Amino acid sequence: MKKMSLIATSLLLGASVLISPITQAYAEGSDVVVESEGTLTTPIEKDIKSYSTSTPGSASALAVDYSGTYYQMSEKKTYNKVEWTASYSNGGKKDDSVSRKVTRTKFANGKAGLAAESKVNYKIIQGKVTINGEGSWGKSTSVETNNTWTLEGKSKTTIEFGSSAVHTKGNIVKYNRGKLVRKDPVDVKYSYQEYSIKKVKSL
Amino acid sequence: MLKRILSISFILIVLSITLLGCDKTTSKSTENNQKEEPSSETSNSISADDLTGENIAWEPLNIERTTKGLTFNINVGIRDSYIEKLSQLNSDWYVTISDKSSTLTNILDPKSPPIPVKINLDSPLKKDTNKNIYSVSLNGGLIENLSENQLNLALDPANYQLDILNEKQEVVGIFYDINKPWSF
Repeated sequence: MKKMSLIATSLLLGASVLISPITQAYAEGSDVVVESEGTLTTPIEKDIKSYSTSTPGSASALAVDYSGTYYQMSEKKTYNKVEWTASYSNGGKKDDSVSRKVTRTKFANGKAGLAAESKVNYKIIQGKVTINGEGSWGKSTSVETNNTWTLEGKSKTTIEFGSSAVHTKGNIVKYNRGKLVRKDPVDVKYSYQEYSIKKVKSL
Repeated sequence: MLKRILSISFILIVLSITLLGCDKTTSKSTENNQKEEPSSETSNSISADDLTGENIAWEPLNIERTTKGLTFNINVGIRDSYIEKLSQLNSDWYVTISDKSSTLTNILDPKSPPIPVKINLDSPLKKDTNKNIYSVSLNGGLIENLSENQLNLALDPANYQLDILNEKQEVVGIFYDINKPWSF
């Protein structure tokens, strides 16, 4: 009897080992293979674009004639801050899709004139840069969204996700009846929208 | 004796394979049920977890130039089971179109972006086998004096994404590649 149960157990074990790969294959279900996926520990800043600015040091006509606070911009750059990357292969003929909950950071920080006036100065800076930021001054906020990309059949897709941002330098200047009374340096970085790019290569 | 042992072993193997097969069928059945049957739970706001390519489909975005700017038209498909879940929500959710990856930062007028709209789940444009198709139309402004190249960028559906927003009008789900159809 002992011998019988031993043989039966061995046969059962053998059968389950044979069956398990089939079950696993079913569970995967799709032709999509995740080749890599993850949040970058050190975000990458790329696609840096420089824009022309007004001549540094020269005040606008308004500043000469009137009193007020202005931003004299000497540098305006936009860039993409990559915080998450992934790579997928779709070996099937049909398109597929992938959805991932990904976090990025909304930010607005740096030096914007006097610390006590930074919030107000940040508004002036955005007006001059002509790109509105998405976050509050001095804060970094994590935002999570569920993103869906399509994956074309017989292709390898690489995806980058993060934030589009501005880097600007210059001075906050104060004029009193056309006379320069104060000049404080500015070096500010702020995000203005989410960034995503997808590159597809045929398999 | 050996014959008896072998026949009992054979029966046991057949029995175990049958049981494993049942388990597999049950898993499949459960999976189907999850897709087709609505959840009995009611939630206060739209969940990002559900905003996937399994629940949302679309026909390619169409963009028309108007005297005031641009009109965006897109047909959005929602899976039947998800419609039932959405209809149980206690708070509003919205759909809008926005530019993808800042390509159109100096082209679309930031003062008149497309205003997010609600989808009336009871008024589909058409019915598909496993989903309802809803028509979404939005208007957006353009910056004045655009070059021909800038205008072409603004009219290219590949430069846009479909956003789904919660009751606070915060984006919770983003769908890319809306220049090409996606279905499930």
